[in-house]
Amino acid sequence: MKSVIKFVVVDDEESCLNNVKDIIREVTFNLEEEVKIETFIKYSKKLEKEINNVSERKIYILDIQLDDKFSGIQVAEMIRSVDWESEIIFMTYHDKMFETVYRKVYEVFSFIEKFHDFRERLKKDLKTILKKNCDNKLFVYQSRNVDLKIYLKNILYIYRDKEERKVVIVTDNNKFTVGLGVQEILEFLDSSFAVVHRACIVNKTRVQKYHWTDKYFVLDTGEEVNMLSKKYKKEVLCSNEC
Amino acid sequence: MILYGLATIVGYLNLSWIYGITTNQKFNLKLRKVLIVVFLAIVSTIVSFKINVIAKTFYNLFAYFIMTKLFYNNDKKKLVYYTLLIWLIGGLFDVVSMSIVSAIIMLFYKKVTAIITVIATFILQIFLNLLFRIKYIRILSDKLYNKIEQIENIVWFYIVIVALFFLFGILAYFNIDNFTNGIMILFFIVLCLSISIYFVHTISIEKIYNETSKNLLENNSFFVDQNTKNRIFKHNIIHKLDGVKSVANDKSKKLLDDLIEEYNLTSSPSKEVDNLPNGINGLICQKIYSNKSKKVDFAINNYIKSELFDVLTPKKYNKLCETLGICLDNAITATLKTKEKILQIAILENQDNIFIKIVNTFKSELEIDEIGNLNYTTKTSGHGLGLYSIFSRKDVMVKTSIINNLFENQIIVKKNKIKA
Repeated sequence: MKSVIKFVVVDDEESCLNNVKDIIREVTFNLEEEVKIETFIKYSKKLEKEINNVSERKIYILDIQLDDKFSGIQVAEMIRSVDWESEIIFMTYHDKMFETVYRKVYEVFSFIEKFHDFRERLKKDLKTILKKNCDNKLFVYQSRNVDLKIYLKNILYIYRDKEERKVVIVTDNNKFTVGLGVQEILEFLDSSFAVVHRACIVNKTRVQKYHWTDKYFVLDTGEEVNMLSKKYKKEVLCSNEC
Repeated sequence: MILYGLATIVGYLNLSWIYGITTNQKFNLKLRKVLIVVFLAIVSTIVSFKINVIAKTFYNLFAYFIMTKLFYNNDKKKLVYYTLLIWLIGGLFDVVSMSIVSAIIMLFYKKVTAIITVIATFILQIFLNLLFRIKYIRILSDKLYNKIEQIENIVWFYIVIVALFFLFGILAYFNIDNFTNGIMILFFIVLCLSISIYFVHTISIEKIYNETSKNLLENNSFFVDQNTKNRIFKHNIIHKLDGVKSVANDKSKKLLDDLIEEYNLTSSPSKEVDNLPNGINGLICQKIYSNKSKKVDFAINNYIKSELFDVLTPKKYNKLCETLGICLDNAITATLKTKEKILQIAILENQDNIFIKIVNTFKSELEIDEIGNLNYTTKTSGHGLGLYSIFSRKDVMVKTSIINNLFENQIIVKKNKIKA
């Protein structure tokens, strides 16, 4: 059965909607996956239902300035309340106005100005998204007071806390200590992670180099981590080749 | 003697069985245990024939304790109580039945033989077994046990001591003409007395210590609890006052500013800001203004049309202001440590609720399971109160999420119900 990629376009201008649909068809012409395109001119129950259906892989293309009580920002907010895996592209008339804050807050892939090289930019962004295969899988952990969600691609490595039965998840900017063991956390991760030490799991896609003899690895951030064991060399090399 | 020994074995086994019936436990007959019972019965027979009946009676009690401990795994109090109960009732029926049987036999046969004694014993054992199967006997004995279980150990100790003295008294009476035995009994009485005085003294001191420790612990716990509440009150008062200021007129604002200065609380810059908006917007503006020089990238979206003060009860409005103040302070402190310094606030509503979402970038080392616990903080000591004080609330709820490098607090408060 073919996998499906769905494009959801929300814009109050019909002409713009049709333009975006043409660009999508052009970019996805050669794709193996089945492509579906849903268009909306404003927020509606049907759009809400679409957002809440998180079973399909989606790419949202939203106009920020919708002629309605719900703006594109609010639609993005609704999307992110249930779905952090789909990509969002904003279309806007205003240069830079919303970019910094909302790019971060809603994990927006890009902002594209409607009257400045729109077609080419949208094509380029869609190709990039499709190429990286929408890899937005999440690690989810719930404690009594907090829900933690981290993209697996943002995790650098995970190591066991020395004092207590906990692990520390190291990302680009933060460290999170959670009440799981090393073996337990493996169930939350995918094949891009490998055990490299009895107390350490690393994201292989973030490793620049392994120094097996000196027992450390170097990440793409430049950090060196002294938790590498030859015992796991064969498995890591084998999984890299596979 | 053999017949008597057999009767004793049957009696011992039956009484162990009765214990199981009374306490609703299974009576498991195993060869090893039966052999131990046989041994005890043999010793009982020897004691009865070689010493005297009184010694046999007390030996039987000792043997019953051994047997119940052998067959059943109960705590000491239960074991002692039910064994004593069965021994006493059994003993009573034994005495009564033997007296009746002896009287009848003497009347008709003029002689009591061993066989007749043994048969009478078997009949008695069957009778006792049936007696303890009666539901009401079991219920009564359980009720009595429940009452006795509440008696403290010290009282049990006194009961045992009194029983021992009573026993020594009986022995002394029966040995009144034997000087050596009398001296020995007297020696044991003095020994028991000394030990009991020592134990009473130790137990009473221990009791005093326990009471004092208990009081100290309770007082300490109360003090710690009060201290925590006091710390939380002092920590949160500034936000409460900011909430009041948000709906106050100019004169009231001046008075509140004065109070804040008087109590050395972190001052709000509202007196420096001209035309501060009313309500929640004003509260947010104060926070933004106080951090204007720190280049925080603020984005505020207020999508609601209602005036919050009108759709919430005063209590909820106060708590909302307090919660919002704490969340905003935490968000600003956290975002200042990052390169991007992003803080987004969105205020939304539906028919029933008001939602305020605060999202900020952060860079930290967090213990996820500890967030919201008392005294847990990523700042210096003396903090760790804000989130703890707001998480437990039900009327103004806070949901916290961490999504990659974003920290999100969502405040949810129910609107007033509109009367029809």
